[in-house]
Amino acid sequence: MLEDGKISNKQIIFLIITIITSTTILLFPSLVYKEAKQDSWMTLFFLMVFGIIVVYIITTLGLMFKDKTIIQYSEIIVGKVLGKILGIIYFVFFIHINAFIIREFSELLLSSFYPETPMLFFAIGIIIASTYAVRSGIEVIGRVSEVLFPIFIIVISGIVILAFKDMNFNNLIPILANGWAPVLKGTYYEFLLIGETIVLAMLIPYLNIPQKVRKSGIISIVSTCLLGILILGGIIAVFGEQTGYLRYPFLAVARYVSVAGIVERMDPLIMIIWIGGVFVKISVFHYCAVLALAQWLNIKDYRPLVLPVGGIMVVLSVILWENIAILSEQLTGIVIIPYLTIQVGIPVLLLIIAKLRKKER
Amino acid sequence: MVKRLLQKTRLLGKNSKNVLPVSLEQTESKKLSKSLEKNLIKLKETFSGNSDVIFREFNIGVHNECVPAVIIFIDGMVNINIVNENIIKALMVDVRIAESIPLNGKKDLIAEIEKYALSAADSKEVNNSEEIIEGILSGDTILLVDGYDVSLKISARGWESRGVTESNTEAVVRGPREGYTETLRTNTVLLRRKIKSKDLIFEGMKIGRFTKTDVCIAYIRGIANEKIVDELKKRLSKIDIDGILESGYIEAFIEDSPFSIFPTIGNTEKPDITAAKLLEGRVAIFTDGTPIVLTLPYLFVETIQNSEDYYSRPWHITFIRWIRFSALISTVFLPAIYIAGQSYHHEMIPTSLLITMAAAREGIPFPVLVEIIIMAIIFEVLREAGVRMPKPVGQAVSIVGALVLGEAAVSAGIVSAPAVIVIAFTGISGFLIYSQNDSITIMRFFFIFLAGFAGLFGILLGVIFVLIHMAGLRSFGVPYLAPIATGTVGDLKDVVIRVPLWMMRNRPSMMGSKNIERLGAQGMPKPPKDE
Repeated sequence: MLEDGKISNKQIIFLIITIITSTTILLFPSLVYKEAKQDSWMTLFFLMVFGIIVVYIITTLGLMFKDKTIIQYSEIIVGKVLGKILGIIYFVFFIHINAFIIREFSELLLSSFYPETPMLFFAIGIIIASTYAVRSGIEVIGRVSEVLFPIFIIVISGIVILAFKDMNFNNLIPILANGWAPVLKGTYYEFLLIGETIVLAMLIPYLNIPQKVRKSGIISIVSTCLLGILILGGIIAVFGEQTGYLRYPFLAVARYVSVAGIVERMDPLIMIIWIGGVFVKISVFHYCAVLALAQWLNIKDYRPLVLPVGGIMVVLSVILWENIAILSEQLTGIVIIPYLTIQVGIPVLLLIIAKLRKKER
Repeated sequence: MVKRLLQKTRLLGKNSKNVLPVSLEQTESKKLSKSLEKNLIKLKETFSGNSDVIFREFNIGVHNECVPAVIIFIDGMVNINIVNENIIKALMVDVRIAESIPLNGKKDLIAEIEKYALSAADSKEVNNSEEIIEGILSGDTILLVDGYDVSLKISARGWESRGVTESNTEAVVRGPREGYTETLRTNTVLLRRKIKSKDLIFEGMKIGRFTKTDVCIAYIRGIANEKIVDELKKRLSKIDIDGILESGYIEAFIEDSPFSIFPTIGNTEKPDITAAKLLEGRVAIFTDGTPIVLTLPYLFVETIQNSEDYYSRPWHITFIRWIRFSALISTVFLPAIYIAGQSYHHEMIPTSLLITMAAAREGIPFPVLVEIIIMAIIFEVLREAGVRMPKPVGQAVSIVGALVLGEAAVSAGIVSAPAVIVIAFTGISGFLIYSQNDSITIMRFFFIFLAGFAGLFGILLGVIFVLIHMAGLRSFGVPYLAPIATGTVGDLKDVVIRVPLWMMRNRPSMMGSKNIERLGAQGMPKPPKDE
């Protein structure tokens, strides 16, 4: 085995919640609001259903080959050549999505906290941390996320609770004024996020008790969506119509919060959880990319690959997008179909083929 | 090149052949001879130049019926009363009066002496000169009798040592005061008196080519994880060094991560703390010559735990745990956050406070980073001076430290008052978690530089680095961050809160002990019902 560390099912729940939520609270609230308006929070119910289906597919597939990742079992299911092609697709996907995340993260720090610092500085900083984490193994990433998770949850729910007195729940009505269509379109944007559970397909072999992964996956999807409802509902209740014009609405909520003039300016807290959460996310995708490459090349030790792959991600994150506007445009447009194909389409196909082959035998 | 190597190996082979007979000869020569004179000459040669080794020659019995004998010991390392009364007097005088042993040489005199004449508690027959020498050097008294190639090793050890006194480093308000001393036996007795069980095992060994220091592993059989005990023995047996002067020498050789800034082996000076740790499944290492006993595995949570936590009532202790935890956070991060707030994130600080601080910094010649570094270094200097200085000059240090460096520096406008406050609070907080003191100091400076370099982002990256490092650390196989980051929620009962003792049913599971039940089934204590 390439990696002998193990992560517990609790850690995988924390990992998935952190992975999805940490970027959900960046750009998505305003993107979704532009479509679904005051019904944005409802998109998450559809998302939950979709997420559970995705988890079901990925775990069914993963549990058929308990000690193998998607890179390895795709070769078994569709043959050597096609399997290798799928493997490289997944490797490129993990690199591309990580470049996305690094760029989003750097843009946020740049625009909201450090206007005069070069963007590369943040990208390199976070990738050095992620390199260290990936070299230490998935076990260490799991433990770090377990330490960061309570802080993450306490800060998010704390800000929503403190913002309670500024909320105007009239902002949330009328419900379904424009019918279901905008809600479904908003959900469509968010599919990407829930599709990130594809990391499960890489991590199932490294779980303590793989049999329980479906339960953990569903728990994490449900709690992520509930957390999302809390965040989205809170944002819309505070800002109403303005939500669509804000780039980072949750940061704006944190800046808006003020209790008795003493507890105020919570944005450094947002920075803390963002850096923590995004670090976990980047290191998990970094790990998946490196592991995918190592298994694709049949290398015994993945460690030599960590730094080069990290370097590629940093470079891509800078050169792929000219500015944040293009990035968020892509996020709601061009990348959805290819991403969904990789995150859901290919696993579904693999599952069908695997089932058919099993019957043949 | 290859030829030379071959030659070398051949030479080595020859050498090893030569070594064997020599070592045989050596063991031969190590045996005692029957002649007292020969033995004496050999031993005197061994100890030549040592004025503190006493050879006391005498005859067993008196006048015509007597056997020459000699006792050997080191002056000052034996209890001279026992040697006088129970060995010399017993053999010279009492033997005749009581006619307790036959001196005509028919029976084995050594065995007879041991059985009938010698009134010392611990004695042992020894026939190997190396063992004899070692015994003499560790404070035993050796009795050689003419005509026998066996000697008696009599334990009459006694030397000047510090008594059991109150521990200086681990003070308590409630709880036992006694602390360990420098003598190994005294220390093991202190522990044995706490745990009166046959399952409390003390396993001894000697480490150090010259010092031959007695080292003792203590654990409770059935509670301690055998894998940890075996691993510890393996690591201890690998130590090959000229001398062990303090348990720190041992710590350095058995650590899991020698380059880490975090200690993965704990130490304590108090028997009650050792007993509690053994009962949790840990293993202790006693070292002769130091009052500091090592305990392992050592986990990060032990930093915020204290013996008194378990002797006091739970509510207050849970509060104190959180105070300690916030002290840990502030002693590491406060100066760094101050720098980040002052030079990068003005929006972080409430406006009125920002104005006050800006006013205080008016006219200060240094940037914040330099100011904080200067003050932090001054604090470390004062602390070190406080530990090292001779007691009588203590007052001078505190006057110079507090008044001149603190008050005068502020009024002279060299450093700002907020910086002094920040560093003072940081320093005081550090004393709450003294066991991590060395790692905390290093981390504090690390974060100060990161904050000066990149503000909050730098601090957070640093935190992530430290977290990754800690998550990867292990102490004898147990994850260093357990139980915070290993998914064992049950063990948090003694970390984030301290539940009442009657609720701590199980030992901490991370030690991997098989015997997990700590309590009987009595449950919550209730007053008897009136009927």
